[in-house]
Amino acid sequence: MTTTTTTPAKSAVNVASFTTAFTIIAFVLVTAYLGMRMAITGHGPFSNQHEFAVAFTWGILAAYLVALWRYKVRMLALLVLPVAAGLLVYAFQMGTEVQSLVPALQDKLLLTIHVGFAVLSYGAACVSFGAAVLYLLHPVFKFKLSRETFDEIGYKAAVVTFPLMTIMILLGALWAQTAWGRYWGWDPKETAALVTWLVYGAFLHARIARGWRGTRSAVLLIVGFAAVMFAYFGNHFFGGLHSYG
Amino acid sequence: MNDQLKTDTDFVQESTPATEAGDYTEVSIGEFFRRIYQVTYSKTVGLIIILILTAYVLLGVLIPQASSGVWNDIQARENFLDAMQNRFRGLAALMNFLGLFNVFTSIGFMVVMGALTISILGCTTHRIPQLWQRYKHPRIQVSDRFFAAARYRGQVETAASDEQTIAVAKAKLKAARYRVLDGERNLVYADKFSWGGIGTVIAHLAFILIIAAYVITSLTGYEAVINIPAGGGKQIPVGAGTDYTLEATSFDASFDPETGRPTDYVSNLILRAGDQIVKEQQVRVNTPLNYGGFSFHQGSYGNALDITISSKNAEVFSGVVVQSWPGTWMGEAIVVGTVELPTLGLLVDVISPRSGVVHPALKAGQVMFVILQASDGAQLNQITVDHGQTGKIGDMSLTFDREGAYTGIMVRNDPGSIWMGIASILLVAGMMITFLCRPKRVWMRAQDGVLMIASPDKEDSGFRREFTELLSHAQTWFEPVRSKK
Repeated sequence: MTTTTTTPAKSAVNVASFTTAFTIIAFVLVTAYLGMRMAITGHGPFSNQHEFAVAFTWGILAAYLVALWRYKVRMLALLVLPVAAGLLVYAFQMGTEVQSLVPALQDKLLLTIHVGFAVLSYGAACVSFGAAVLYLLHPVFKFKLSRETFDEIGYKAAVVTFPLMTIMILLGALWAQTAWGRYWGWDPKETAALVTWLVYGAFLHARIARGWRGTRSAVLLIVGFAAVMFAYFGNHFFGGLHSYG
Repeated sequence: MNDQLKTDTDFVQESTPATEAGDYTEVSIGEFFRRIYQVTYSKTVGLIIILILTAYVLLGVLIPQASSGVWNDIQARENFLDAMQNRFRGLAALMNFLGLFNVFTSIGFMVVMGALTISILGCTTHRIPQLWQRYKHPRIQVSDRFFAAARYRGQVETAASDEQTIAVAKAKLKAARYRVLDGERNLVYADKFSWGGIGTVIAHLAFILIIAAYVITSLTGYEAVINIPAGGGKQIPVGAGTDYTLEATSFDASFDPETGRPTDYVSNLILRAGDQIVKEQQVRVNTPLNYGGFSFHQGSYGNALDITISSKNAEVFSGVVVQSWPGTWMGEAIVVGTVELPTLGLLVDVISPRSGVVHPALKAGQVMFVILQASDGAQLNQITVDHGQTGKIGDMSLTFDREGAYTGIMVRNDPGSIWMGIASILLVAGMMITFLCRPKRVWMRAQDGVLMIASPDKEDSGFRREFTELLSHAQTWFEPVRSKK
């Protein structure tokens, strides 16, 4: 009797451990890939949609692993890893060749830190999205972990997302000032980033000032990540000054 | 019990007088403004304004927007609205009425931004006294029931007297960098980052400064694009009330031979103040020329033509014409430059095919001169001329000397940008303080050989860990209690 009840549990633990191990391996491989591209090009791997998509994947994996280390909630992988995998598939639909930087992107420092902050911020946003969805699904699937744990992870990930996104937007404004002489031009991509920033700002405002928790809070986090994806894929239909191919 | 667990904010809110039910008859002027003030610092109102602003900005992304240049040019605006009419059909007029084609300069958007500014100011001014109260005069005294019901609570048995116990606790809390304040009956209050709330004040004020900087930029900033022929020594006035002129000694565009992607645009610029050269520099997209509060940025480039026009054997124009206006003629793309001949009351449009276009009426190396009446734009005549040749219309001679290039330089002077920089630093600093210096409060009371520890702060896994750690450390502060059996 004892044997029959413990064996499946051990198997589950082993399978979950493999999942984490594979995620770590994937993170190392993506890091190596980006490192190699950086070594070849001499700048951050953000010069086209392929590089940015792989970097976005890296940001998601990094944020997930940090959340896993902090909260030990492997279930987040159910939502976060498919997004990462989808982005990798998308990345390899784009041109993978190493390209020279167009003149507007030829500020290697600002390119690296501006888009670097975007990658970290978007990665944390993906984790908050995963936690929010699991929070909403909790009553249906009766997870062992408490519902509040997902609420907490979603909030904490958004607390990381928001300042990183703020710095990303401000660095973009600084760069625009240098390149085009104006810090803000209502370019579609920067406006979409502002929408995203406002959604996360609304979330934190609602959470801290109004005490929003639970379902309303989770819905705002999902809307926030939808805004992130909208801003990210906007290059394909926005046009504007952020269309670099 | 609930009273004992209320936060300081709740205590402050309770101190405001309640509105009497059914009191609709008389509202004093002071009460009237107090109620308006209440609306400005209402967090619900603030949240609603943020959501409206989000929706507004989203509309600005989803709906095509006319740039300020297009919107301020009557003809360009009409062309834009015609295009929108074709796209949105019956809805276009309504959308235009609602300002949805120029969202970011529309009255509605300005109203929302104004409301947000007032809301932030109201929240901030309302919050500052609360923060000061919490920092300077925190609530210290709590009842025994507080220690039994607080969100975070625990206790440690000690063999020491209550006075000794609380003295040890104070010393340990101070060593752990808590601010410690004494209460009555062997009670201490301790906090960390009690000033941390100032972070939200800084961040909110920074946001107002960002809006103010944007207003300064919009009202006082100078922005223009000047097209300068590359080579040929032509000096173009910068404008903006200065005596500056710009000359481009050369312009080069480089491309990746394999992909055709542009790799560099570089203009050699000479800036003069009057006759004096004040700066000479290679200007690239990320390397502007800065002088006297102005910045000069590489913006665009295109065709320019070197031409000579004579009338009755007297030269009336000789120089470079910038072909900066795109257009179509006979279904193919063209570029147009215009020469003004004020002494003759004429305009001359110089037309050539756009780069890479095979035009049915203009062969490679050909340009067309179109003579127009300056007063009403009526076309008088036209002639096509080959490279290096001269064409004649009446007593006018029109010579196409050679092809060249122009560089488009964006000129900016923005007194708002320095404030934007300051606001950005404050915004980041405010956020860092808010998220990294979260206020933490702990109460301890020694009573009957037990040290009770509690905090009513909001649920937070980080603080819970810290509180558990504090409780665990507290176990080590005292000698183990011997069993009473």
